[in-house]
This record gives sequence, structure tokens and C-alpha cells, in this order.
Amino acid sequence: MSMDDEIRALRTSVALAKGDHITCLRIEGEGAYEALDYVVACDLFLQDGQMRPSLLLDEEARPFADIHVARDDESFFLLAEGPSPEELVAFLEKRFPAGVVVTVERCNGTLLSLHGPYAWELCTTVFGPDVGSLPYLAFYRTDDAVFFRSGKTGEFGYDLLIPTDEVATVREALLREGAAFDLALASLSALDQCALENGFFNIRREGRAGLSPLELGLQWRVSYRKDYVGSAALQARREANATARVVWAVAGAPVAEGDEVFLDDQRIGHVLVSGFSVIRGEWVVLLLLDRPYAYAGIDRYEARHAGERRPIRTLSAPLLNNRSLYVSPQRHSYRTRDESKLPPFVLPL
Amino acid sequence: MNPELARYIQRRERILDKVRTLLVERLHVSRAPDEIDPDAPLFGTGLGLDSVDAVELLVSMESELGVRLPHEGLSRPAMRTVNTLVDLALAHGRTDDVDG
Amino acid sequence: MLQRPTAEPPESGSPIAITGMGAVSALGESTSALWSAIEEGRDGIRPIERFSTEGFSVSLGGMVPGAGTGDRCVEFATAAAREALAHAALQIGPGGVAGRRVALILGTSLGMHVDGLHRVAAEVARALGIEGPTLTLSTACSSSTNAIGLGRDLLEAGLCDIALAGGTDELTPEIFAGFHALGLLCLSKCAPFSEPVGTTLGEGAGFLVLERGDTARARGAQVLATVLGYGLSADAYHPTTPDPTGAGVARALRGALLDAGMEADRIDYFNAHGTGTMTNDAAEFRALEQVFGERVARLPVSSTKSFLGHAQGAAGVLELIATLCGMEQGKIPPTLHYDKARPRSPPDPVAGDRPRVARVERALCNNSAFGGANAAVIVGKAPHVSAGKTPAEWLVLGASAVGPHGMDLDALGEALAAKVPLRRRAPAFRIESLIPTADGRGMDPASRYLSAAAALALADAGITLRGVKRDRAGLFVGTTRASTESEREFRDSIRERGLARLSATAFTRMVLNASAGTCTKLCALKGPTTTLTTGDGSGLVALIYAALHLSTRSDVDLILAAGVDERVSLESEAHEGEGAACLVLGKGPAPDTSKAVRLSGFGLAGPGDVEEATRLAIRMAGLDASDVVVAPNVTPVLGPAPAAEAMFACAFAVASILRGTWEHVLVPDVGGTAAAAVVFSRKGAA
Repeated sequence: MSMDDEIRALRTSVALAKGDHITCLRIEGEGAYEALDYVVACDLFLQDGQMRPSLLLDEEARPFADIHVARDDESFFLLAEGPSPEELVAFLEKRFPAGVVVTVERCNGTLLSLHGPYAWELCTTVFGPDVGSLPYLAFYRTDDAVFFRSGKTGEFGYDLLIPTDEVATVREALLREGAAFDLALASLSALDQCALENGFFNIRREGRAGLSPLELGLQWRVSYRKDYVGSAALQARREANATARVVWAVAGAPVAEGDEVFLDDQRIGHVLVSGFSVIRGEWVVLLLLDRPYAYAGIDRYEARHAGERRPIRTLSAPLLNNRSLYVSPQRHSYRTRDESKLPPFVLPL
Repeated sequence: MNPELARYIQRRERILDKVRTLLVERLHVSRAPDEIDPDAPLFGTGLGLDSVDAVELLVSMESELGVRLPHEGLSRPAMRTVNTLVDLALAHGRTDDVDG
Repeated sequence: MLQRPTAEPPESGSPIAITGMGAVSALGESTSALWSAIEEGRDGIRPIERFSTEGFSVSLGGMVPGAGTGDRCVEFATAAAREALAHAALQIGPGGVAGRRVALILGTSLGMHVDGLHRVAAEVARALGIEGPTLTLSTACSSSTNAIGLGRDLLEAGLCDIALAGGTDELTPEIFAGFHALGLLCLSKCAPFSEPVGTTLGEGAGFLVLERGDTARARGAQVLATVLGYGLSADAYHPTTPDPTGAGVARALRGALLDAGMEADRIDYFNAHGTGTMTNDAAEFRALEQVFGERVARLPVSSTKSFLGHAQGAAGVLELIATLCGMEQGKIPPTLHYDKARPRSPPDPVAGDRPRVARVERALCNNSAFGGANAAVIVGKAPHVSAGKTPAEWLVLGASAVGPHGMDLDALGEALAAKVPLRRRAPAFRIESLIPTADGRGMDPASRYLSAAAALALADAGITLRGVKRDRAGLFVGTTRASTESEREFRDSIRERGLARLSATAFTRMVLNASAGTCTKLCALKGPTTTLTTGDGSGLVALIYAALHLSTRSDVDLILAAGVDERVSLESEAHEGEGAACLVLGKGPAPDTSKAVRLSGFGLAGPGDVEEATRLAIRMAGLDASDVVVAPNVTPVLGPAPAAEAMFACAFAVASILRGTWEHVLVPDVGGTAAAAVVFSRKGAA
């Protein structure tokens, strides 16, 4: 199946993906909160069963890992993308405050993930109603599995932590029941493209550009009210005023990472990430623009690609009017869906 | 910079400021305005708003920025990030503040 | 066994009988009007005429026909209560039962309607000659269900001989506008579990006459049914959205079943809260699946709101009355307007426009509310003898006080010793400094004070609630009005933008139990919760109810009892108190002897009768008046704080006993609609 087909399924029905790019850790012990509070960039405002997206920053305030932190009673789950499991554990152990009683363990099990406007329904069919009724950024656990409702595609998204010896069975059940949902398998590249279209931060792409949350527009994932790894550098960068900011854009012709962006003859930034959106039928790009030009809704900029100037148009993310916004687990069903009643993926401005 | 573009950016920045103020004052978002990035998600744990705040947000957008939704269907796509609110105000808000 | 504060302890395990019913609703001004409309499949939902619905997308309501022009809450309640008393063949006063032995427990949710919500109950009591404890429960839409439970508890404790328990609410333009703003109203008549989604608001009042079975038998009263058990729970989730996993509702249902000592399979019929909104119906169904398992496929589940609309604080009792009428006739009230089933909804919604003929021995009725307060009650035909209640030794495991003195008990002691009026507000603080996992966004002062007091009391008790212990910890709050800051925000939004665009966020904070709802969420208190008001002394009454409730439950380990006030005056120099004080009440034996203070006695009596309340409390403690020290009045120092001041005194009393200053301390309060007194003793003191 081509990536385009994977993405079409993810945007209209359900797609199943591997979760091996995510590391799931369990943080326990008397000092679990204190230890995490010192490495996680956001305020840990979490009720039991809730999760939050945040970052692990390095000492220079650059993202080291893209995380979800979830509170399970007085313990925590940490779902992280970016570093390898070994790098992640080493990062934490090196930076946890001294003398704090805390244990870090890799969770037993294998992650599978489901995404799509009807992902909830397939989950309900296979795992029962508790998973289907999970609100966004919450998780639910059974004796041996954990179901996180996270997702970085703009659709209903679930990361399922399944005991490794049961993964094959669960996967089979998802494929079997998924047939009725036109389930497709999605690759990591497909997930990354969907993240880009929906304005989700991607640690494997723009996250490697040496930028801080200030340039990345991720201040909502960090706190300025506490001390933690990277907070001093972040504060200093904030006071120095960031000179660039990420902006999303679309282009009719291919543009690529590294292409320079111009306003007339003035260079105002460059392309950080680019990918073709099969849903929009055009190229979707993430730009890093000089601050005075970093705004959505402008069609005067151009990217220079292969010696040619290609017009681009900046836009507010998310770039899609996701179907998941209009599908309700209490009212709808894939079987009885009426696509004619769903609004278009791209709204005229 | 081309004057038309400069005017657009100025207007966008002005509306962005108003939206930030509205979020802090009306929706009790406990952040300094400059911490509220244009692409910050409103819901989930982005700025921490919930379904009840969504109602207040729409009403405040109307009373503070003169936004009148042409139809109900626009509310969901418009209420995703700070920037989508700014887009909404640019398209459907008062036009009397173009220059100040 | 529970030490009874009455002269003649009632027969142990005597069932609590329902001997009278009265109803004023959209279907008419009597119980028979209500039932005959249900028999005929006629709903009471009409276009609203009493106020203008211009500017709203909805115009329907379940209004009481031809309602008068006075205080409708009082009128509805008085009429329903009179009907219930007549139905029970009871007369209050000379020749009948003594007024001071009759308690009135009123559930109502109109937090924004009057400055003192307790005044509605006070007027009803006056009209009927009721002179016993007059208590107002205000947990929004589960108020009257909770009231029936409290009536049961008061009777079992012998604090009254007759309990008139129910609820009343009027559909006001503000409530209508608030629900409209929240997008909860249905464009057509509400169709629970079905399409279209949304609710229709209603109004009215309902009352039950409750009495102990032995008393009822002795006077030859006809027993309509028995209150078999009830359960309360906190969702600890969100101000208006129910916990979508249904766990909160399930806790209340299981609590009721445990209280009744029965398994779920003994329930023949479930009268659902069934508002018709998407979130309520889905969460409630999820709870049913959890509690009833496979049997949910065959369990008849209906919602009376399809006839009455959502009568808010009166909903629970009116729906229970419909259930009881049905049981009497061998019928189940149907769900009207049921058309197209939602994907996940009760398989047997008793759809149709005629009651179903079916024998119902035991029915479970559930209500849920803003602030996440759930209440469920089980009624049955079969006489029920409750298993002898757990013997209780109430321990005060922790105490706290947040007020003009600051945030610790030593500062409170010093301020009281200095006897200088403080004339200042409670301190400003960030809730995250006390509860690091709490997001303080949008919290009003009342919620902040209460949450801080609860967190400090738990810390004082050395308790960290983990896992299932959270399900076993509750919060009972006494207060007199919604946050004044939120109320100003609400009023300003109406003045500036008009009713149709009022502030939905401020509206959700207008219910009296809003601060309790926030506190249960931030402190993860998922056990029983309630909010009550008696005007002055509300906090002390909440403490007494907490003690009563704790002693009747095996599924609750501890209850936090608190009083909270946010001051009304904007002037900084005004001598008005505010803040919150909280005690952690647990069951013995004490885990740590250093925290060994007992709640050794309590008493509750009619308005003004503090002598009787004090006498009951001291006798229950097994003491003489000469044995107890009376706690100092905190008002001259902290300023008047109607709900919290007696709880400040309690916190001070507990601290003083721990310091060894006193052995036995009495905290009396002349109170508003009920006088109350409690005695604390050093553990081991004679």
C-alpha cells in the first residue's frame, strides 16, 4: 500500500501503526513526582488518569524528547519519542535530583497505535466500551494492558501498551475486526506526514534543528514558574527575544528541507520540513521565518527550489478540517456514516 | 516591506494581542501574553480550555472583536489554536480597526 | 451501636418507611395528576410563556401550569409538602406530631436565586409548623435524591420522628439561559437515550414523608414503600461534564446497593437521570454496564424527564414519586419521545407512550449533577431490616483553617488569644503551592479556600490518598452562597452582554456545590459528597451529617467536613470573615495516638434551639455540662463568616485538645434553620 493510501485511511477510517518509535517508561517511588517535576518542562497539573504533552529539554533548552506524561495514582508513565530507550533512561538518571527515591523502568509490553476518525469504534469493538469512552489525553488500564488516548495526527488516536506475548493475538483481532472499518496499516512516515499537516511537533524532523520551544511555538508545553533542566537557558533565550518562529505553509510545486524563503529579494527564512499532502493535493511545509515575517495568511513569500522560485502561502495550523472533529462516539458509527454530511477537509478561507 | 503586507501583519499582530488579552482576562489563562504562541492549541492541555470555555470564548470573540459566525459549522475549525481565532476575527470580525 | 441522642432510642434496624407523597410538576399540582398524565402518555412540555425566550434557539420548558407570582420555589414546595403530609394522614402541631420532632430536608439548586438559599426551607417550615432541624441540600440536580438519604439518616439517628424530604426548583430565565449557553438544551422535547440529543428544563417540587417503620406501624400509617438504601459519590472530574467512563455514577449506584445490602440482580427497574444530553446519557449507561453487567440487556431503564423535563433540584424526588406510583400500580413509567436509539444506550428503554405492566419489587433511581455530585436511592416494597449499623468511634484525624489569620492553626490560636479584630481577607496564595498537581486556572476564591483547607487537613492527618482509598474518602461542605466573585462575573456578563450571552463558565460556578466539586477533583476525593446550607452554622451541620453518614457506611473510610465562605463586601476594611476550615473525620481506632481527638457527641435541633442541640451533644458524649469547655467565639476576631466560623472554632478546639489545653470542648452554634452542637474529647479522657 502506498503512503497516500495509508494516509487516506487514517484520515477517513482507521489506520494501525507500530509504536516502536515510542518508549514507554514507568516512573515510581516516593520521589516520582519530585524527580519528574525537575526534568519535565511543563507544570505537572495532572489528575489521576490524565496525561499532558510536554518536552524534555537539554541544558541548552533544546528538545531532547517529545513526551506525554501520564499520572497513574502516585506513579507516572512517560511516553517519549526522540531518543532511544537507553539514551532516555540515561538522560533521566543523570538529571534526576540527588537523593530522590525514584525508580525508572521500561514498561513491559509492546505499543500498537490506532488513528482515525473511527479508531474509537474499532477499539470499542475489540477492547470494550471503556476505551471508546476515553477522553482526549486520558488513559485507562486493565490488569495487563494500558490504553492511552493521545495521538499526533489530529484524529482519534490511541497508543495501546499490550503484553508482548499477546501482541500477535491483539494485532490479529484488530486486523480481523478492522476489515469492517477498511483498516489500513500505516508507516511511521505516514504518521509523520499527518503530524505535519496538523501542526504537531515532530522531534525527528524540526526537533533536530537546534531550536528552542520559543522558535518552535511550543511555549504552551513549558513552564516559566519552576526550575527544571533547561529552564535557565530557556529563560535567557526568552529575555533575548527569539528572532525566528515556525510557520506552516502550502506550496503547489515541490519544495524541500533547506530551501530558502524570500520576500521579493530578501531572504527571510528557510524550509524546515516538507511533504506532499494527498488530502490537500499540495505540498505542506514547515518554515522557520524571521520574526517580523512569521505570520499566517500571507501569499507573497517564495521558496527557492532547484534554482526556481516557487510561491508559497502561509497558513494557520492545523491545515486540515479533520473528520474526527465531527464524529462522535455517542452518535456515530463507521457502518452508518454519511460522508456527504461531513464538511470538506479544506475549508475555503 | 510592501506597505500592504506591512498593514496586514500589523493588523494580524493587533488582533493577536486582543485574542491573547481576551484569553487571559476572560478565560483566565494564567500565562503572560508573550507566552501564548500563535500556534498554541486552545483545548486539550494546550492553553487548558474545555468545552464550557469554548462557549465563553465564542461570546467573548463577539463582544470584544465583533466576530459574528456566518454559520455554526465554522466554530469547530475556528477554535483550534490562537491563530485560527485570529483568522476568524480577520475574516468575520469588525473591520473598523484596520488602522488603529 | 450508634449512640442515639434521643430520649427513646428507636428500635434497632427499623426500616425507614415512605408514608406520604406530594408532587407539583409540569403535569399538574398533585401526585395523581402526575401519574395520570404518565398513564395517558401526556408530557408537560410546552413553549415557555412565563418569560421571553427571544434570542434563544429553544423555547420549550416543563413549566408548572398556572404557577403563581410569589416565590415559586416556596409555593411549589409548600403545596407538595402539604399534599405529602395529608397523604400520610399526619398533622403537625396540637393533636398531631410535635413540630420540633419533624425535620425538613429540602433539596434545591437555585444558588443564584436568593442570597440565603436556606430561606426557602425556612419559609416552607414556617408555613407547615415544622420546628425541627430544617436543612437545605444543594448539590444541583441531585439535591432531592440526596435529601431523601439524609432524611433516612436523621431518622435512623433518632434526630427526628418524621422527615419531610424532597426538593423544589423554579425554572428561571438565568437557569434557562445558562443551560442554553452550555448547548445542553434540546430543540424539541427531550428524548432521553434517543435522537435528538439535549435536555428540556422543568421545575416543580416533590416531597416524601419518611418515618421509622415502628412509628408508622404504631400510628397505623399505610406504608407505600421502604427506603432500602442510598449512595452518594463525587465524579471528581469536571464542573459540568460527567466522568465519561461512568465510574462516578457507578460508585453511587454501588454505594446504594451496598447500603441496601443487596446485589444488583435484585433490582427490577432503573429510573435513570436520563437528561437526554449526550454526555450524561452515555456516562450513565456506561455506569449501568459496569454495575449490572450482562443483565443491562434485560434491565428496564426509563427516564421520567421525557414527561417532566429536567426539574433540577426537584428532579430526583419527582422521578422517585413516578417510580413509586408505578410500583403501586404494577407498572413501569415509560420513556416518551423515544425514536431512534443512540448507538450506546439502554437496550430496554421502556419506549412508548404507556406504562409497561410489570411487577417491580425494588427500584433504583439515580441522579447526577453539576459539580460531579451523584446520588442514587433504592426503594422497595419488601420490608427491609438494615443490618445493625457499624459501631462508630469518630476520630478527628486532621484539621485546618484558612482565613484572615492565615493558613495554619497556630496562627489561628494566636489571633484568638490576641483578641484583636483582624479586618482583612483570607491570604492570597496559589493553589499549586499546596496541591502541586492542581491547575488553578479560573478558580474562584471560595474554591481556592476550600481546596486549600482540604489539602491542609489531609496533610495534617498525614494522609496521602492513593488508588481505591480515593473512592472511600468523601467531602461534605456547609456554605451559604456561591462565590461572590463568580456571582459578580455572572451578573456582569448578563448586564453587559444580555441573558442569551451570559458567561457559561461563571454560570457553572453558580451552583452552591461548585466549590465542593472543584475540591473533590483537585484532592481526588471520589467517595460521598454533598453541600448543604442552614444559613449560619452550615459548616457545623455538614460535620454532623458527615458523622451520621460515616457511621452508616462500610464503604467509606473518611469524610472531610468543611465550612466555606467568601466574603460579600468589596471594602478591604470591612469586618467580615471568610475562608474555610476543615476536619478529617475517620472511624476508629486511631492510627496514631498523637492525633487522638474524638468527635464524642453531636446534636441537631430546630432553629434557635441551641440548648437542645447542646444537651443532646453533651449527653451523647456521656458528659455533664460542667465537664466541657465552650470553645471561644471566633467572630469578634475573624469577622462574621456564617458557614465557616463554627468550623474555625472546631479546628481551634481540636488543636487545643492536642496541645493538652483542654479535655472536652463544646462548639455550639445557634445556627440559621437548625441549631447544632458538637463535643470533641481527648481520646482516653473520661
